[in-house]
Amino acid sequence: MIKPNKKQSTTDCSRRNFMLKSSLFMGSGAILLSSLKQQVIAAPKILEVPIWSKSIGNPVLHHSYGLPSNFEHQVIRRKSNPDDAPVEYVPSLDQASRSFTPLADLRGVITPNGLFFERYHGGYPNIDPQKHKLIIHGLVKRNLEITVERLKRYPSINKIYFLECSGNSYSNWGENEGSSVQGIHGLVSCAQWTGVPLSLLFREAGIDLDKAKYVIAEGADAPSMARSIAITRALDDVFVAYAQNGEALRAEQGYPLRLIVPGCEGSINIKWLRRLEVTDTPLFSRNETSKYTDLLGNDMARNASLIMEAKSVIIAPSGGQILPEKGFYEIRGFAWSGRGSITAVDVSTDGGKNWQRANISSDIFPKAITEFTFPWQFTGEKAILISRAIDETGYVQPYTQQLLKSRGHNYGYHNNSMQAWEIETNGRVQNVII
Amino acid sequence: MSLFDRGTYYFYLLLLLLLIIGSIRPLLANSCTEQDYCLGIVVSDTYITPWDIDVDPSGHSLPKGSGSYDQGLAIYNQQCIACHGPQGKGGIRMGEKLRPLPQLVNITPLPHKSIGRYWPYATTLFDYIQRAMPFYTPKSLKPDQIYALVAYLLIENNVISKDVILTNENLAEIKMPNRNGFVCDIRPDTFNLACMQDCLTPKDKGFDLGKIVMTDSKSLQADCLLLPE
Ligand code: HEC
Repeated sequence: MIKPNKKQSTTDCSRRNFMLKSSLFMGSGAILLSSLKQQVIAAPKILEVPIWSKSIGNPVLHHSYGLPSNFEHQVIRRKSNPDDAPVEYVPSLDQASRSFTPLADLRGVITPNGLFFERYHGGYPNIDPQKHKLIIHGLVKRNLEITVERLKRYPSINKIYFLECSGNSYSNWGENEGSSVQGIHGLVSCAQWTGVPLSLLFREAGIDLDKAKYVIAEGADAPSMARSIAITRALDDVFVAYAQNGEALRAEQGYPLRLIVPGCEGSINIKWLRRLEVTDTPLFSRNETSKYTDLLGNDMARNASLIMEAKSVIIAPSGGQILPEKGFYEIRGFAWSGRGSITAVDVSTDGGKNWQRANISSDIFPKAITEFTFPWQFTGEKAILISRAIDETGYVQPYTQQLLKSRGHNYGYHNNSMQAWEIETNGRVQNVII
Repeated sequence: MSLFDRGTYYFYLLLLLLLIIGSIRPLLANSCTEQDYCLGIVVSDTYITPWDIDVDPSGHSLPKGSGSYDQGLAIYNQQCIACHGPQGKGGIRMGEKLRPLPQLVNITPLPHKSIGRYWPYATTLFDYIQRAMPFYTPKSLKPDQIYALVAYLLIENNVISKDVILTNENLAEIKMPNRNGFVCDIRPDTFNLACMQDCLTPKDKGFDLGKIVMTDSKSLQADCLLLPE
């Protein structure tokens, strides 16, 4: 049972050897010294037996719906603080606003439901599923009304997909204004969604494939958010979801029903879905004309720029953090692409001059967040960390200056450029825009 | 001729059959032979009307009604001015550092995505006010009030002249200044190679930043929003 001390120390030693080797591999005597120093940091004289080992714990159902440890109370969604956000960046009304996911604290590819980013145009409704219905009409043989309970009886699918607001990373558009990865890039999250393919529901309604060109999707929220989706896309991989990470959708995410349009900007994934109208013409709703269109530098604007292009961001270390000491750190980050799977992520620690392949540290799902890691020693010298995503189409994530040049300064949505974090000699991590 | 001669008998039988078929036809459309799962209930167009609020550029689904500038001004000053400011000039914010609520006319220097400068169709304004405004009490306005507000806002935006009475007949005919300002999305618009060693960055001389890539709006880009020919 009890391992002999001798054996344990051998294991320790071999681990130390491994660390030495990998430090040497990193090619710096300074790193070697610093990691040696860490091994001799004085330990407390003798281990204390803590109070939780000497008293009885909480009973079952202490929380009938489980909560994170109270020591994790800092891991929450946040609004931008108007005091340190760019001028006029924070909306006036909280019902037409957003809150950001704490990316730096996430592990793996799934965003816990309570931390999924929020974005509303008129607050989120509290919908009674007994009274909610999905209506399918327009260019169909039969108008269908489907209750939530009946919808759940259709053959279902489970898919892991990211959702990203097209305004994500807006504060990095040209000006260096955001500071943390949460505040700059926290309008992206990823979940496993459960639902019914639109193609199946349209077949039930008897869609007129000769005339159908678009489907207008509409929510049951106060502003009845509405968008037009090309029928080719609608029949491809779009589905009506009712569950998220194993439980019913959160109200913030569209309870009881929402649309999932994989790889496409968040706003077209209509929440609180109440109506799907098959048409031969787009609606040109306010949120596909006045908003969510991309005004270029030459005064023309792109419409229906739905795809969220390949992007990656290092979440640790990231803006606002301070590395507590020199030594080994695992650089960790997220990569995703609306065009399919991530095929590689590269990391540079010298501001983009030299790059190395990162480890892919999660499963890779198309149009989902993929996690990557990269071993790194902080030597106390200045470093600039950048990650670069490459997707299955061969697309390589660009620099911000390239997007500014090819789109102009009025653009703002769809900023998928590379994030650079400068590590100062004191370990402070700062946002820089390249 | 007797009421019950053979021909008349067949005639009535046929009539009865037609009647029966006619009365179960709506049920036939609901028939489970046409739906694989048959979990949806078949409903009529009339049943859907209260939810069917979208107004596309054809204007076909506009409700009957009309409104003038003066009527719009009165409603605007009652129900909209608190957030969008006098004459839609905006500037209203709920806190010193917060973003002002949307301007509904163009007053800041170009470019601005205001109604008059940016919106391609006037129907969008009707559709949006009908579904979403006023912010705290959406769907509370009657069609005449919405026509009046659309008239008021289009006139403040210098799109139509002050004497126009806006109706379901003429709203869709308004030509917005920026109707042709939209093109399809042709991204990707950057074309990088994954350089691994001694790479240039935008900070270095000789780094190619690229340029604006354009196509015309007839592009076959699958997601594009295009009106039927
Ligand atoms: C309580 C404040 C408030 C009131 C009152 C209000 N609005 Fe709004 N309005 C907003 C907000 C907030 C938005 C932006 C909503 C969003 O983010 O989607 C908006 C957006 C709009 C837009 C779209 C602007 C654009 O550029 O896309 C129009 C048009 C509009 N409102 C018209 C009206 C009209 C007409 C009324 C009166 C009937 C009205 N509003 C009353 C807050 C208000």
